[in-house]
Amino acid sequence: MAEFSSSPESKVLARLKEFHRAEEAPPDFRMLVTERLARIDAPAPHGGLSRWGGIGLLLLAAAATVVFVMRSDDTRVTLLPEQPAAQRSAEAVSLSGAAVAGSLRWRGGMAADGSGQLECQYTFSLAPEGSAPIRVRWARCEFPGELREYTQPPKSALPGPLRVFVTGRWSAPGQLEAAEIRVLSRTTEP
Amino acid sequence: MPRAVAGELQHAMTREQARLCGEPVREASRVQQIVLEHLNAIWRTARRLGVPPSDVDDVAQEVALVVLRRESVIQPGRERAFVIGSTARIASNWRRSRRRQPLPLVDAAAGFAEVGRAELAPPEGAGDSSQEASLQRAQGLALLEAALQEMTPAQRVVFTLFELEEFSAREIAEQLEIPEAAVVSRLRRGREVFQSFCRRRQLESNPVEEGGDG
Repeated sequence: MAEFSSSPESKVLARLKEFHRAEEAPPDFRMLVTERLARIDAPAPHGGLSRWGGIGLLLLAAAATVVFVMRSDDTRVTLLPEQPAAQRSAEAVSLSGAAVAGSLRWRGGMAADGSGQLECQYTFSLAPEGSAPIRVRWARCEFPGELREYTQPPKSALPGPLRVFVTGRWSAPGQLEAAEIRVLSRTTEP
Repeated sequence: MPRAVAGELQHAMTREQARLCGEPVREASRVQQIVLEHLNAIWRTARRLGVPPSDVDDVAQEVALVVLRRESVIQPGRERAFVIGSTARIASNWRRSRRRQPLPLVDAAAGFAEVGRAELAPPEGAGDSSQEASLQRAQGLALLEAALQEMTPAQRVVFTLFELEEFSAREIAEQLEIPEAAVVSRLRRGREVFQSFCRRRQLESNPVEEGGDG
């Protein structure tokens, strides 16, 4: 230890340390973290139902059950053949569209299994041509930087539109579990 | 202290913004104060441990979550050690998870551009002293990055915390939850790597001017 502190390299290191200690976080990073801190540290919303609201809902649910039972007694129900949901969701889907600015939602944390690994989930809206916007879910911690900047709330840091190509499977109606995301150049197709 | 003054100023500005926007004024919590006060340290520690600029905000958010969860056990006066130790652990995990994934093109390009920019010789006629200073700083940080890249991840963490952030071996051992002997051993190896790096580049006491060309 003592040998190093008297070596010429320790003087080099002292100079580099000055640069390191003088380095400041960029303003946009500071602003982003401040925003996220406000969200992380916000007081919990008043999510609990009031006592009277709860009783009202219970009464409503009971009434609905009575109506349903009465109807099912005297109504014929014809079952229609339906494509199994599992088969539908197992199909791989590829589509492209415009990412919706400001639509990104992000959360992350340590894995619950105690492995110390990060777990992340990004969700953003994508508007495929000629159809309604869908939500795209991405469950990895690496997320394309340009897409993040474009979809970051409250407003995009980049001018739009930004076209994205996504491959994945439907996890729910209107929600795609992405396995691959590619940011396309603004003029080319995949 | 200037850092404390800066933190207080930012706190006051946030309150003023809230007042002007008609929002109810809410005092910043201890979590917010801890994270914001040490934001520069989070940034530079994560950067020295190889996290690209585009991902440091994720690391910072993770640090904030850890501070939130463990706020009650952070002793007054030990906030800096806790925050920087958490940043080091999270950045190391980030690197491990990243190693299994190919580096996205955008980040690789950003890192390349940064080093490239930093290693450029000063443009002729760049007489502005602040420009020169910022170029020197960028060159210095690029050199530091190059030296750190030659270390193993474990050596890099210990070297950064000890040599750059000035923590003691005991503090590092506590924060990383490893034996103090392991800290000393990693530090010794890290220093050897650094010395060898400097000798190969023939760096003297003014590293930027004499050795910046790589």
